[in-house]
Amino acid sequence: MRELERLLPDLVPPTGGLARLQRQVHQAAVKPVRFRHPWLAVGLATACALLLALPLADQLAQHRRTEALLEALRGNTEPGAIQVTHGAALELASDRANVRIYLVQSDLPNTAVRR
Amino acid sequence: MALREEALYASYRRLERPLFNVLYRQLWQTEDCQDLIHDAFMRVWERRAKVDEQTLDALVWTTALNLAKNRLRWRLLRRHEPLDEDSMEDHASTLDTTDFLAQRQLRRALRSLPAASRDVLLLAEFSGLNGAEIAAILGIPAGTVASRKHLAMAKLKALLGDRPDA
Repeated sequence: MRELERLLPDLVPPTGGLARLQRQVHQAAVKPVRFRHPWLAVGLATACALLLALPLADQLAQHRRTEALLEALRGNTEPGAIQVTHGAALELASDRANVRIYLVQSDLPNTAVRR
Repeated sequence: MALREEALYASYRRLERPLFNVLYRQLWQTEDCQDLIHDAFMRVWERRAKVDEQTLDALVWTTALNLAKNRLRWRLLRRHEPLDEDSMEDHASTLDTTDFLAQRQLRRALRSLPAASRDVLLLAEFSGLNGAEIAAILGIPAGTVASRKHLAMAKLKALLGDRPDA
């Protein structure tokens, strides 16, 4: 197709392309090293956060348990709640409806539990 | 072996003009073509540790064609129609009015070709690559290059109105 050849002339690209590439390559060379795989950085950050969070969560749970026990020791007597003389009891979660579990802390060698 | 800086620049000198000619007939915008060529070389440079200089040119072609495809897809999604008529007039400044209108018609015809056929036609016209090299770049069998080019030419001829001097 002669017309096609005439209408698709060989175009000359604008000048300065190579200089731009050289500039960019040199700029890239002086840039600080970046993570090649950003997901790796995200993964590492998540792992670190988990490592810090797990002991913290454990400590928080222990703290809550102690607080609840201290509250019971201060004489929290709700209707129907277990009453402990010279000590305290804390109801723990039970997965069976007919079983109730208590954590009992005494402040005397012989503790009397009364319902 | 990792890609050397000199090899990258040498490839740029070799490919800038054919790349520009092929990409311009896809994007029809000079600045977009320049940016795309630049981006293609930078992407290759970023992966320099894994680039074999023997296959550098083919890699640049593949990267640039993929970027052009993405660019066209982006334009389609954003319903972005580039204001390229002026720049086209720059390139067509040497043509008379009849030629200018014919070139607009050719541009529409090229746009209406299937992308796969258009790639083959433009690479065959401007890249200076042979059929086997074009096949390797596009990831198609060598025989398909010839058939796609033939079909593209036939369709283009039909779209251009089967001019007597065509």
